[in-house]
Amino acid sequence: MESRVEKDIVDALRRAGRALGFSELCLLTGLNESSAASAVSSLSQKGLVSVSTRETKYARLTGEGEYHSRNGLPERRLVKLVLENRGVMALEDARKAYRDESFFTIALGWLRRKGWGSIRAVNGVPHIVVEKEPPEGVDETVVRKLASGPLDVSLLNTEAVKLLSGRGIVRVEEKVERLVSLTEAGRLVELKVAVTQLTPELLRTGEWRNVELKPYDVTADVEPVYPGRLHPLTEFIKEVKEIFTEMGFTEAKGPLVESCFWNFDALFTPQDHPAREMQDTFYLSNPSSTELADRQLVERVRRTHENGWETGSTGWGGEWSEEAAKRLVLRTHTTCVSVRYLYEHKDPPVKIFSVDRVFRNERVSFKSLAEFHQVEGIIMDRHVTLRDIKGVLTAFYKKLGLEKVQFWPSYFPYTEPSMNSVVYVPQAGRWLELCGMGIFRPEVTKPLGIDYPVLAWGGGLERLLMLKLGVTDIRILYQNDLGWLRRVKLCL
Amino acid sequence: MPVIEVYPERLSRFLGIDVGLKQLVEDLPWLGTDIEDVGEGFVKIEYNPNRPDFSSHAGIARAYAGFLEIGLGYPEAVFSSPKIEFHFDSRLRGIRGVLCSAVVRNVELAEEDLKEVINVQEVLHQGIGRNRRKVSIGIHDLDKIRPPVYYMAADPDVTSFKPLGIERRMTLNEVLREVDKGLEYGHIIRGFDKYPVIVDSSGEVLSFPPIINSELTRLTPETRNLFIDVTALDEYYASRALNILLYVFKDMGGSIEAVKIIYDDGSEKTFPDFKLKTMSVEAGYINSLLGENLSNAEIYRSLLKCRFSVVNDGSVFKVGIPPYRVDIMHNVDLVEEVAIGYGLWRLTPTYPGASTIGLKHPETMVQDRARLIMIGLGYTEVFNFLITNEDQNYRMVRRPVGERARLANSSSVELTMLRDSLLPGLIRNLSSNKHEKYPQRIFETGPIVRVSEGSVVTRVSLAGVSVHSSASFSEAKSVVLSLLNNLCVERVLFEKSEDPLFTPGRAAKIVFNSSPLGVVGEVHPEVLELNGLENPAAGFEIDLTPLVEKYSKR
Repeated sequence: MESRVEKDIVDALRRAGRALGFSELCLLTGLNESSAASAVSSLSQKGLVSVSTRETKYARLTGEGEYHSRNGLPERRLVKLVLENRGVMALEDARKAYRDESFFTIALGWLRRKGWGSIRAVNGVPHIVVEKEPPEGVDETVVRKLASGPLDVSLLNTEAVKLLSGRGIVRVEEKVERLVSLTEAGRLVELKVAVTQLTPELLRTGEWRNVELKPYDVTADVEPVYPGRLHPLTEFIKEVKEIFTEMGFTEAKGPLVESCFWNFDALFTPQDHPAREMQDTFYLSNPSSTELADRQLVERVRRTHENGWETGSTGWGGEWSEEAAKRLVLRTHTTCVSVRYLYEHKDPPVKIFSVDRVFRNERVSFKSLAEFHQVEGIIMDRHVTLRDIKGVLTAFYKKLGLEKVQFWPSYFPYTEPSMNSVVYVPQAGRWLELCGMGIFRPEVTKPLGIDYPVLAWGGGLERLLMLKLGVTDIRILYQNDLGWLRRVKLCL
Repeated sequence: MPVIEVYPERLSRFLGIDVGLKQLVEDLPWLGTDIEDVGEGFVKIEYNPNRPDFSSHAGIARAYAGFLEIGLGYPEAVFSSPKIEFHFDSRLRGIRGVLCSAVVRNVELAEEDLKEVINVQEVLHQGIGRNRRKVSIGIHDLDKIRPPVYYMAADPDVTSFKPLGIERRMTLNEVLREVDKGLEYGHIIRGFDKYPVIVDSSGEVLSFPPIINSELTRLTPETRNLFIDVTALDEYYASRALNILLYVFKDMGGSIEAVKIIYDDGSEKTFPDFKLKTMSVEAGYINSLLGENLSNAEIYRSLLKCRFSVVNDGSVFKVGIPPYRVDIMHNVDLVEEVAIGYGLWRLTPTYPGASTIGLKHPETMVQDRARLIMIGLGYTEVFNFLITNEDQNYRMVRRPVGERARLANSSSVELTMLRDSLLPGLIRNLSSNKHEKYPQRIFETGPIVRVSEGSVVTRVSLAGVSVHSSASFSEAKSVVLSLLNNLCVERVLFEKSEDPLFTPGRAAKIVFNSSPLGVVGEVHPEVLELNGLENPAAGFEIDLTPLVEKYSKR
């Protein structure tokens, strides 16, 4: 694999068919000395050329020689002058007409010596007589060749060089020079030019056929690049939503800012329940409350809280406050989304889910946030049962890659019976308590006008994602550290 | 949720048979408790707040005996007739109008027992007592008291006594001002002109409920006879709290003696109230919710295992609820008890048959499409909180403070309002990522919340910012056009915008169907400087709500 420069050198040597001196090589290839030198050295390393040194004699024109090279040798000029006068010219006339008087004698001497003309007396006056234009002499040839620069004397007529040297027209110099010649391998090798970048030019001209694309060190390191990508939370939320839709669930959405009525009261959470206290729930100061639209619903909920209404419950006792129910909070769970949806869709079957933000007025730490996501699923149908929750959850977890599940009894104010589940997370090698679940209490469903059992389950999203990602600090999920976002692996 | 460390030897004492730690770890979850930790010789469990009777070894043993089938049915407790009268001052009706009381005799309280009793009292105070507001309990050394006893409305600045752990006499108001418990719970009664006190016939104050007892009746290792007062706002919960405590003393070997409450009008009430509340439940209802086909015998035995008294007439079960249970409000609660008694692990999973078609919400569909386009444009998604503060949302981006959704009770100055735009969050993200390789292109889509005419308005927004040495308006505008084009939003107009977040003359309003859809521009140098950014930035924010609405109509 050779560079373009190397190929040029080999080509030049092939054309010459002999060893070339280094300067000659530069002359023939048009390369500057340093690039030619490095290419020759590279070729020599590959065994394609050999380099030896030799002493050479160079002939170059002297200052006078340069002058003659431009104007012709003095005798040649004299011949021309005489021929312009029909071949016969009085010596004295010629002397006057000759431009460089200083060379006239020399010119006359060489004219006679070369036999180009003679001196004859005509009417007692000496005349120069030239019969015809003489051909270029070997000395003139040498001068012409040297006009473009010094040359190895071996390339020139030795006698002529000696003669011209004697005349002070040519100077012979001695020089030590590297001599480059092709080796046997160099004569036989098929050369292609090495190219780093395939260019449009190479493709357009078809020249790519004559070049060779330089191979790379494919083990070398490269610059990292980062794709534009989704946040790991989004990727995981998408996965969960897809699982739900594959299982035939419809996604429900509801207000982030919710009345206590929907967030708590409709879920039969007593008004003095600790979860409703200021240190657990974010209340709003602007706006601080909202109107409750459905008066009949409000009344049914009031009575259910106070004495059970027609639900068969004892209720919580005490007096239910509508003012407290009107207060606005940041929803503390997505179950309010579900009950709103059920209130608007009373005909079975209803299968809905949500994966959305919820809020708790909690101190932010490595394990808890004031704002996080909850996953929630709901099934309302004529004959659904507690065993069905186990079945649906088992299927749901399996789709998430969680094969081992256990269910325990538990408690929530709005479900009965209630359970929670623990799943084994293989990525983390441990069990994780994941979802609370149960059947909505009649105190929840009856006031909404729902006559069928409602299965409900829900749990935090982030904790499972943390185990999947192998992170131990929940805050990293919302830190938006670009380095983390660019490099984090979410291997599903 | 409350927790308790359960020691097998201690539990065995109440169970009457020996159980090991390993067995407890396996069994206790089936009673509805969570194993928090397994320590050297104990298991720490978390139990649900609806079961305050799990606050002692005695209480857990009662339920566990049923699970092990060594104690079936209702654990009966008896009491002797009242010897002590407790007079109720009717002026307390609007202040703290419920009073229950009982006496326990001949109970020997080892240090561990005393610790446990105090724990039960604390759990009752916090849980059903709602931090003493609804119910509070005083336990006294009966032998220091000279009956009869009086529950009286007292003058806060006149009445005085030595509070528990304090050397000198203090007035009630001094207690509220100076004693820890007074500072902690004083708010419950501070608004009234009279405060409740319990005094005996010698006139000594025994207790200042719901704040603190008197030093006089302090329990000591020598105490054998106890006087218990429960003051409350709700009689049901007061009476149940008393029962829970009395059952613990009974299990510790004490004898219960009733106390007679005498009201000003001459009427009387005797406590404790151990009468079983009854509730009926049908086998059909149970089986339909559980998805089982349990026989009447199986249901009967399951309920006995959960320590209920049960009488059945065919498939109808009349269930007596033990006096220490506060969580049975509806017969659906008995369905759960059957499930626990039967063994929840025996309910095998089934899959419901309803055939339904899944569907994502239009908001999700629009956001997911927009996200794909944004990552295709080389943007990386970020995920910020909705809760922010005025400094971040307004000042750091040169925007004037607007009408916003404010939080009333945040515990952090950082969390005071809901974001009304996504761009401030993105700029903040850039500012915390200055060490990362440029160019940086980030985007976010999510809800923003505004307040309009006193109502909360939530919109779905999408914003993106690009920051690098040659970020410009035209780059941002190209991205906006590409995004909108790919979302099939065509023919949008760009008009000059005055949004102070952007450089004047280099910002545009995006208008669609003659309504504002968003903004695009070069971020103002002052915003860059405020956020410590040394590269130009250009960004945009678009309201996706119209698209969501369009999708919803399909």
